[in-house]
Amino acid sequence: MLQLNCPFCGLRDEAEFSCGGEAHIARPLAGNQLNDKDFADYLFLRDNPKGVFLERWRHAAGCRRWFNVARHTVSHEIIETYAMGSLPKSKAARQAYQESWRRKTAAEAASKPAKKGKEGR
Amino acid sequence: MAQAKSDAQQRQSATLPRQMPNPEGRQEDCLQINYHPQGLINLRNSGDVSKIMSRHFGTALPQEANRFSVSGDRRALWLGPDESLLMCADQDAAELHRTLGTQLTDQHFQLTLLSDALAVYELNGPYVREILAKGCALDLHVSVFRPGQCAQSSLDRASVTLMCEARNSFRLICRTSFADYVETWLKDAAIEYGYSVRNRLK
Repeated sequence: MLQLNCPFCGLRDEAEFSCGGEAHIARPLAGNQLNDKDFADYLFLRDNPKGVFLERWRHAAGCRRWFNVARHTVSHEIIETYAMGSLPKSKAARQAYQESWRRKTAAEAASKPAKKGKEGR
Repeated sequence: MAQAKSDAQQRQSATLPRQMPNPEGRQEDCLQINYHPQGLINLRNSGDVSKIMSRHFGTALPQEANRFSVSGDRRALWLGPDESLLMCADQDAAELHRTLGTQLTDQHFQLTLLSDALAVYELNGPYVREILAKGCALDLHVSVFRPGQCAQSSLDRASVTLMCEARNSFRLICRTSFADYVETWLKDAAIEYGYSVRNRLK
């Protein structure tokens, strides 16, 4: 049985939580120019690493809030729990974030507003 | 002649008697189970409401997670970073709901009356922690779960909120639709210590 450290409630039993799958999947903004393959990768493709995995979890039987968990899928070690909308701080989890194939996708690039040129300001 | 109720009609909790003596005759060890109707209001808000709550509810919302603040028969429970449960006397709930609704109008908020949706049980007895621990994964040791703390968890798969009022005194909040199940579970778990049900959900 795992124990997870809810950012609000502290250490609680795994049975109180539900897992929401892979974290840090940025939604492409409206009006993006993605082709069908890139959009399908964003929509359907999920990572399944042997090693550190960044997941979303919800404290379903407790405060009902979402947060992120960095978990090792082999040892089940909980490396870190961190708030929604923030990035992991530990070295192993940061590395997992940076090395994810998702960082290089067109979908992720299309999730950020285009940078305005100097002329536009 | 009155017809006996069918199994489906009969409440599950009726399968155990309302009173079970302590097997060794120590009546002071029995668990007291008391259904206590309370006015309950769920408050969700984003801004600072401490002044309004102090003035119109009697106590500010708790600052720390999983705590509750007390003022007389009123309690304000922390349920989440932007969510609280207000507990008051059953007859005060509608009036309080109206008052807070008019006082909070310049805020982004939501008030929901939950008096009938949730059932509150008062549990008293020297073994109340041992009994609850049989079905709850929380650490209920006296040194960890102290008076003034509350926690949402599950009691044998039913969602409950536990409030520690004093060392041997708890309040348990569950959905009304689960009340029969929870009452049965509590009675079953308390057989080895004895129990008595003073008031039941009608």
